[in-house]
Amino acid sequence: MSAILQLTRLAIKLKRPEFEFAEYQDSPIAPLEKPLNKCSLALVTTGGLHIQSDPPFDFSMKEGDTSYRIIPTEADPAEIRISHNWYNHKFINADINCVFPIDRMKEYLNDGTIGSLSKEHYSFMGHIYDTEALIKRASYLGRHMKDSGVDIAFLTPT
Amino acid sequence: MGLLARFLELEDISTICITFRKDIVQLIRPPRILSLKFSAGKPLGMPGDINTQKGIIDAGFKLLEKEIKGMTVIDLPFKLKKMSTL
Repeated sequence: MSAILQLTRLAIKLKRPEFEFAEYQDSPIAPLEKPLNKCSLALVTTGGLHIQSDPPFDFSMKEGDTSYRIIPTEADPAEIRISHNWYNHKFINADINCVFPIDRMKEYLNDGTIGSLSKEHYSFMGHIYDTEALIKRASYLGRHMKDSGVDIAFLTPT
Repeated sequence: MGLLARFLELEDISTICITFRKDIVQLIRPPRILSLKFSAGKPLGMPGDINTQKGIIDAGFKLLEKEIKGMTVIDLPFKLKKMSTL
């Protein structure tokens, strides 16, 4: 275990004595079932992004806000807000692609690298201590994405 | 983020995880991890650094197309550029 991970665990323990990082021994793998240029891609971020007209994430929740917000592909970047207060917004305010590379993905769509972009992308918050609730939410989102024809989730952190 | 990837994979969605904290993400063992020595607020590099953004995404696409047997971690060599040089 790295020293940084040990320190992170210790710091979290001071605030959340009952919290343990989830750990797994196996890796479920969904291989691509068709060429990349036939696949539909959605972005998923934990950057706490939301459209201005949607409610912000709730920082008052002790176990973390496990909800997610939909960011439409055609959203005006000027409409996108960040309600994740635990990182510096200077960089994303200058270029949203630092966290949410939507412009790059539109370019990959236009040059035929990917088959399509999902109409919806998704943003969560980080700092979630209720992992069971997050797991239920992730499973629900996965089924929704599959039903929407999405093949690939490209995940970015804060 | 690793938990999201794990449970999306179980619903048959192929995932790529970008991270600057691979020590934590690896505990979950999502299948495809791109690790960078960046930090919060700029996981794909500095504002306007399109070459780095595309380099990271290209590496993700390459890994998606590769047949993997288990958790695969790629350490990417990109470095943060100074904003004034972009």
